[in-house]
Amino acid sequence: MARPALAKLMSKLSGSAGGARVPAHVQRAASEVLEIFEYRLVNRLIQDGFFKEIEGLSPSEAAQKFADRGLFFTLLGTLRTLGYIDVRRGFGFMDGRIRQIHDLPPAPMATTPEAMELAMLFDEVMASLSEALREGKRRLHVASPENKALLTKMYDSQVFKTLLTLEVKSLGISDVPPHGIVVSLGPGVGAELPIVLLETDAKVVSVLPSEEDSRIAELTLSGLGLMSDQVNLVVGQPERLNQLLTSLKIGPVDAVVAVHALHWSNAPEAVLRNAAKVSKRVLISQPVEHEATWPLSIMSYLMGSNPLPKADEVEFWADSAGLEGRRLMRDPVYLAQLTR
Amino acid sequence: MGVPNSREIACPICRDRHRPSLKQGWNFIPCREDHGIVIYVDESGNIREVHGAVLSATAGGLEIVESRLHLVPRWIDIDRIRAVIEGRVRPSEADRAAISLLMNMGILRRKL
Repeated sequence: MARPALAKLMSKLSGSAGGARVPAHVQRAASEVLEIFEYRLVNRLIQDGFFKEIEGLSPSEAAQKFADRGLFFTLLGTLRTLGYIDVRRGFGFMDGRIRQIHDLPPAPMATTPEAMELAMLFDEVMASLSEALREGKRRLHVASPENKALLTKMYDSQVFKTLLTLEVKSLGISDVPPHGIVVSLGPGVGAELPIVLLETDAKVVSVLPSEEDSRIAELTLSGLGLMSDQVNLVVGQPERLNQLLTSLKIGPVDAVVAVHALHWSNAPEAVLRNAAKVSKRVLISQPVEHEATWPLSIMSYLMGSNPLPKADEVEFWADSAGLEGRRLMRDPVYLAQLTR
Repeated sequence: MGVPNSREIACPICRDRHRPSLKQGWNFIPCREDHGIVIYVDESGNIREVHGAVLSATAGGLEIVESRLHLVPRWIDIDRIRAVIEGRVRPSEADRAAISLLMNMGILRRKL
């Protein structure tokens, strides 16, 4: 099945980023990867006996078979969206039953090195799926060097980097004056930093979840020749951003930019509330549950995040934080320029 | 956590003294042309390991974990890193950062 959702997202983002050009080979890779990911996910689940195990059961009965029920429901939702399973309507007190409605499609071919690179990475992360689902253990522990290498590589891949660049460009941080301060929150390892630094001349304070993340961010920026007085790497929790910046005497802050950060927090509402406390301007780029983003959701989850939120949830968190303003896109990436 | 720069490190190979800027995790410090120092700093900022790393293809130094080669970030020229750890190229500041990064990601390790 052709899956153009990611390529469509790239075109859409290119428009909101002021017509930024997307190289043709990256655009082609984006149109290939979803189909490849889908094939590999379904193939892995068939090999694992997943479909046989849940066939004919209601979703809640099927969930009992797995230790990580949250992950089970994420997979179930993904497989329904992709058209592999259906849940028949229930009658009276009887819940609907799961049935498989599509078999494995023919194996798609990756024709670009960018798609092959991502497919290999996807396989490596997905190797931990069964254990996570059945035993509730996420093998790729968030602090392990393996996890950091995978996360860094995922965001370093051409497709992700292009998407992230377009998202950051759309947010308009280039408006912040050179003497201003931008606080950057990301998915860890400073994945968004090279892009943020190229978009603004302001001082950038990056809040990273651990010393390991800070070290990787620093070495990456040093290697790219971007480590300078312009950037300040700070280890701390974005949920306590206000307290953190106050204790470090950092401020006033001109903008907080949260790029792929909210699903890495267990209290995303607190992240936005704190962002609104330290700055009047909060810029959000957050992928949300959608047919274009399911691989990011499952991969990130297996590497220690929460599944991607729904667009409504992000909107609710922003509202609760007292933020309002211009929403550039609702899905597959929630992009918004908000103010307190 | 950073380690104060005033900490003096003696190279285990040539005894030359350095005052490098160290951070948590693995740090690669070039010393003389044919070797460097590999230092591990723990989460409390204590130096836990100091090793000499001979930059040569044959002697015990650093090696790339070939099975993890696909995880090397695109900005790193792995052929150049190979040349550095084999002593064919003198490491630049960017190479030092790349080597430290690869060690922290488990893609480069000490030859045992």
